[in-house]
Amino acid sequence: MDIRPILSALARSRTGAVLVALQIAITLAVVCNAAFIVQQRLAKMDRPSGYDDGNVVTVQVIPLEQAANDRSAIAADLRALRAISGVEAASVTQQEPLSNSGINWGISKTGAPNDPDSINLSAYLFDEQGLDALGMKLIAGRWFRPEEVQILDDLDDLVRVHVPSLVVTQAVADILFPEGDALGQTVYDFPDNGMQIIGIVERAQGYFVSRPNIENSMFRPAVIQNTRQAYVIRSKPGDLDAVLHEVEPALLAVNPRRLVRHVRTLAEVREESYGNDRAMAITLLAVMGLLIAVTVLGVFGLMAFNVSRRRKQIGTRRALGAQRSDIVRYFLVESWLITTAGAVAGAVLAVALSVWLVNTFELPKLDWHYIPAGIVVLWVVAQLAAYGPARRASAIEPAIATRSV
Amino acid sequence: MFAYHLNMALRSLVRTPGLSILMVLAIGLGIGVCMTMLSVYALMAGDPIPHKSDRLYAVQLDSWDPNQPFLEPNEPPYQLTWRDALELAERSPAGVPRAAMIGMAMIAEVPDASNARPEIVTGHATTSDLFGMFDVPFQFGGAWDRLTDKEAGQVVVLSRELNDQLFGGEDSVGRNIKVGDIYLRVIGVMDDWQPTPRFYDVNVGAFDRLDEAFVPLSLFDRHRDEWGLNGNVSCWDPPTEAGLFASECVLTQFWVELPDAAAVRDYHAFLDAYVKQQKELGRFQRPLNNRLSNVNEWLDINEVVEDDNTVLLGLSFMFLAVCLLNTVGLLLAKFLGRAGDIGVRRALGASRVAVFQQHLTEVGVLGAIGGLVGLALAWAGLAGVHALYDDYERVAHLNLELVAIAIGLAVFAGIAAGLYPAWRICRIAPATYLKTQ
Repeated sequence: MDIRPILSALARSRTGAVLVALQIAITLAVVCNAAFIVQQRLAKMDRPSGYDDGNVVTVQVIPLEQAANDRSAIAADLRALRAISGVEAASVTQQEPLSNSGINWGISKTGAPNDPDSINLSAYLFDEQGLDALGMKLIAGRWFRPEEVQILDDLDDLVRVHVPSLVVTQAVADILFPEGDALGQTVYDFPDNGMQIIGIVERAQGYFVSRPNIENSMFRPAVIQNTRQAYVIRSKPGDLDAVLHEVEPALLAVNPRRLVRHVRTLAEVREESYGNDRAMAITLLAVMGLLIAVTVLGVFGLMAFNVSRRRKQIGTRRALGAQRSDIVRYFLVESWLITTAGAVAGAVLAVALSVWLVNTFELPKLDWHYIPAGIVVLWVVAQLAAYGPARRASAIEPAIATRSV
Repeated sequence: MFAYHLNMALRSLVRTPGLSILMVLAIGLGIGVCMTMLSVYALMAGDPIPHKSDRLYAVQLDSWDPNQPFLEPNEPPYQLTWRDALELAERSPAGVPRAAMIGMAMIAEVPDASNARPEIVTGHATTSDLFGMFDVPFQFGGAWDRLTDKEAGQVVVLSRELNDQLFGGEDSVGRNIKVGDIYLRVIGVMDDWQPTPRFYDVNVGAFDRLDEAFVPLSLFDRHRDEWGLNGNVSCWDPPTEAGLFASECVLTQFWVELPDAAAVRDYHAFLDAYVKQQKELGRFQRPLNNRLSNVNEWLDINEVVEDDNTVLLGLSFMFLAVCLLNTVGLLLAKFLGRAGDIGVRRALGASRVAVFQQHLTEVGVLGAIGGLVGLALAWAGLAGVHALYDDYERVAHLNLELVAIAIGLAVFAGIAAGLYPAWRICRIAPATYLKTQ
C-alpha cells in the first residue's frame, strides 16, 4: 500500500495530527510511569509477612487502672483466651506487628556506640506461645521456654534486666552473620548487655510497613506488666469467626474494668497499614483510565473530522475503483502513523519523566518493558477509535464525486 | 461590544450541542482532576496559621549521641528531653511566650452519667501560654493561667467534638470528668480549631485526629505513670533506673513566640547559654547546634507533604495538558467548520480583531462552563480521596479560595486552548468561502 498519499494528506493538514500525536505522547509517558508505580505498590502490599495473617486475631487491652494489669491478671487473660474453643495458641505482647506503631531497637555484634554495622530492627516481646500464636516458621534453633520469659515493669527494664536470649529473622542473621553461622552467636544492644541467638525464624515483618528495614525483627522472651497489652490469638483453620466473636466477651469476663478494642485479624491490620499505598494505586489507575479515554476521544474526533473534510476525495477514489476496504485501510494507516509518531515522542518523554521521578522522589527506575507494552496498548486503542470513522468513510457513495456542491 | 460577543458566543455554543458538550467535558475533566489533587496538595502544604506563622518558632537542641547525629548530616532531634523542656519553660526570658508540650492519652469518663463509658482521650499536656500563642478560639470558658501551671491545677480544656460527645454540646465549664482516681474540672471548651497541618506536633501524623483535650503539663507530670504517652519517644542512651522522664530520651515539643529578628537573636543567645551550662554538667556532648524554625520552616524540615501527593499533582497537570490539546483539536474542527459564516461576516466589514475577540469570548465562556463542571467533578474527586485516605479527613475539602482558583484556571485554560484556533480562523481570506463550492 502506498503511504505517500497518506503522508502528503497529513502534511497538508498538520495541526490536527500534531495535536493528537502530542496527546498520545503525554499519555504514553504518564501511563507507563503510573503503571510502574502501581505495580511497585501492589508488589509491596503482596509481600508475605511471615505470619498466618488470615487466622491470627489481635486485640488491644487498656486497663482503667494501670496497676490492675499485673502478671497474674495477664496470666488470667491468657488462660481465658486459650480456653476459647478453636484457639490454637495465644500470646501477649505490646503492639501488634504491621500496625505502623511500635518499638525500634538497635543491635550489633559489639554493642559499641559507634559500631557502623549496627542494625535497626523492630523489637517484639512475646511469651512461650508467641511462635505458634503468630504462625511463624522456625528454621533453626528453638523458641522460648516458659521459664525463660521474664516479667518486666516497663520497657527500659529490657536494658537493666538481663534477658539473655533472642530469636531473630533470617534477614537479620544474614546481615550480621553472612557466613550462615548466626545460631548460638552473641549480639549486643548495649556494651555490657549480650544476648544469645537461640532461634531463627524464616520471616517476620516489623511494625512499620513502609520502612526499608521491615524484614529486620527480633523477639525477646518478656512481658511488660502494669501497662496496656496486645493479645495475639491464632485460631484453628475454620474457627476464625467463632474466635473473633469470643475474644472480647472472654476478656471482659475476666475483668470488665478495661477497654478492649480493635479486635481484628492480622490481615485487617495489614490492610489498614497499607491504606495509603492502596489509595495511591487506585488513584493512579483512575487517572490512567481517564487519560486513555480522553486520548481515544481525541483520535476519534480527529478521524471523524478528517473524514468529513475529505468526503469529495473519498468519493472520487471510490468512483475511480477503490474498494470499501481500501478506504478503511487508508484511514487506519493514517491513524497508525499518527499514533506511532506520538509513541516515539512518548517513549522519550516516558524516560525523561522517569528520570525526573527517580531524582526528585527516589522512586525506582522505570522498567523499560513498560514502554513497548504501553505503545501496544495505545496502538490497539487508537485503532479501535479510528475504526468507526473509517467505516463511515467507506460508506460514502462514489456518486459524490460527480456533484458540484 | 462585549455583550454582543457574549450573545453570539452563547448562540454558537448552543448551535453545535454535541461538540460543545464534548469540549465542556474535556475542560471539566482536566480541571476536575487538577483541582482534586491541587486541593489536597494546597491544604497539605499550606500555612496552618498564616497570621502568625512567622512569629512562632519550634526549638531544637542537640542533646543527641556524641558518636552520631540524630539525622545525617548534622540534624538535631525534633523533640526535647523532658528536663530540657521544663527548664526552658521555667527559665526563658520573661517577655517570651513559651509552650512546652507532650502528647498524651488518658482514659476519661463522665462521672454519674447513666450511659457513660470510659473513653480514651488523646491530646496534649501543655503550659498555659499555648492558647495565647496559637490564638486558640473558645466556645465556652477559657484557658488556665500561669499560676495554675505552677500549682498543677486539676483542670482540662476540651475540644468542641469531645464536649459534644461527653456533654451533648452544652456549656460544660465547671463540670468534672473522671480520669483514673482524680477529677478534672472543665475550664474551657474550644471552638472549631483545625490547624491543617497540625504543625505543633507532627510526630504521629500531621493530619490525624485533632487534640481532644489539653491539660496542664505539671498535672501530667504528677500522673505520668498512670496516663499514657501519645507520640514518639527516641533514645540514644537508654534510661537509667530514674526512668524515661529523667533520661536523655526526647519526647516533648517546645514552641516560643518571637516577634522580630532581634528577639530571635536574643533567644538564640539564651539557648546557647543554657546549653553551655548543661555541658558543664556533662550533658550535650555534641557541638552547639540549636535551631529555631518558624512554622513553615518546621513543616519543611518534617517533610509533611507526602511524595505521593506531589507526584499526583504533577501527573494531574499533565492530564490537564492532554485535555487542553483535545480541546484545541475540537475547537479547530468547530471553527474551521464555520468558516463560511466568518467569511460572510468579514466581507460585511468585521475586522480581524473583532473576529478574534468573538472567538476568544466563546472560548472564555466555554472555559467558565467547563470550570463549573470541573468543580462538580473535583467535589466528587475529593469525596473519593476522603474515602480512600483515612487520615485525610481535614484535608479533603474545597474552600472559597480553591473554588476561585478552579474557575480562574478553567477560563485561563480555555483561552489558552482557544488562542491558536481563534488566530487561525481570523486569518482566512473571506473570498475563498464566499464562492459556491
